[in-house]
Amino acid sequence: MRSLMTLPGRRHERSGSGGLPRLFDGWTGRRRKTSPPDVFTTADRWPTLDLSEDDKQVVVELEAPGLTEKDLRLTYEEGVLYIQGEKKEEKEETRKGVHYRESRHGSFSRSVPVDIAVDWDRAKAEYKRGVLKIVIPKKSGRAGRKLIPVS
Amino acid sequence: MTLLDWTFSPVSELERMRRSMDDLFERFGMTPGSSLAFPAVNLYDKGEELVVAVEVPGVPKDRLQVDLRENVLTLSGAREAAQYQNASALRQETPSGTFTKTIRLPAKVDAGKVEAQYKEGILLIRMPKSEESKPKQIAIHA
Repeated sequence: MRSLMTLPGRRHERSGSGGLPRLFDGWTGRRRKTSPPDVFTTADRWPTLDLSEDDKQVVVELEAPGLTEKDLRLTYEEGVLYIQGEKKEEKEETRKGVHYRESRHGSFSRSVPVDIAVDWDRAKAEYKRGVLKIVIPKKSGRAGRKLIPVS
Repeated sequence: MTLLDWTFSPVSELERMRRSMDDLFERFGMTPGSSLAFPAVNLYDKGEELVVAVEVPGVPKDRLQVDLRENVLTLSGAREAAQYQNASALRQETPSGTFTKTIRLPAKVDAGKVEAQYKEGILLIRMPKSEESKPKQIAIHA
């Protein structure tokens, strides 16, 4: 577990929300009991992501311009989706003459708990126009509530 | 063994503090001439030309407008929240809506030779400087 507050320092140390997933990554808001958004956590919500669902699928969209597929790594474990990546500096441009730079770069890691029955094996991801879109189909034929026999 | 095997140097302490302040400001995008407003812009002065890289992920080309008047570059467009049929948003961190951002260029450019290219959510605008703004070498006579 990382410390809560990252001191302003070397850029590659500020990597996404890795250390804080449980505080604010409860995705339906139901879990979010403890964390009023503050400047440090919101500043670390980078790259930003949107999450939506319909009756067939869950969709995650991450805004990360200027990457290639190779810069991204998607994994899942126990109902949590992990998005890791690295945004590199524009090589050619940085050699000289930076007037100013507002864009952020460095490595990042975001996690999204998906507390809905989804079919991870059929999840698809696509990177287009600087947006990573992950579509995870919901499990067909809702299992519904199950009975545990008491003996 | 000495307990104090470091020397306190007020000058390097101040320098260190200044650097952390700079880092903090840089982190929040507050270098002179820049702003936090969407979209993030990088401005490069390459001597013969100015290069502006604009981060506009998810904004389609036709929703993007670039306007150059003298040395003021105006970027405007719209970001739309993803629309799926009957979908409900569970979390929305990315803002949507229209945006306008004005950039004052540090040199005059030749409006007729401006080139713009859109790739992976980044709009790259190359603007050759006008003759009068190009760096010139001053010959030294013996």
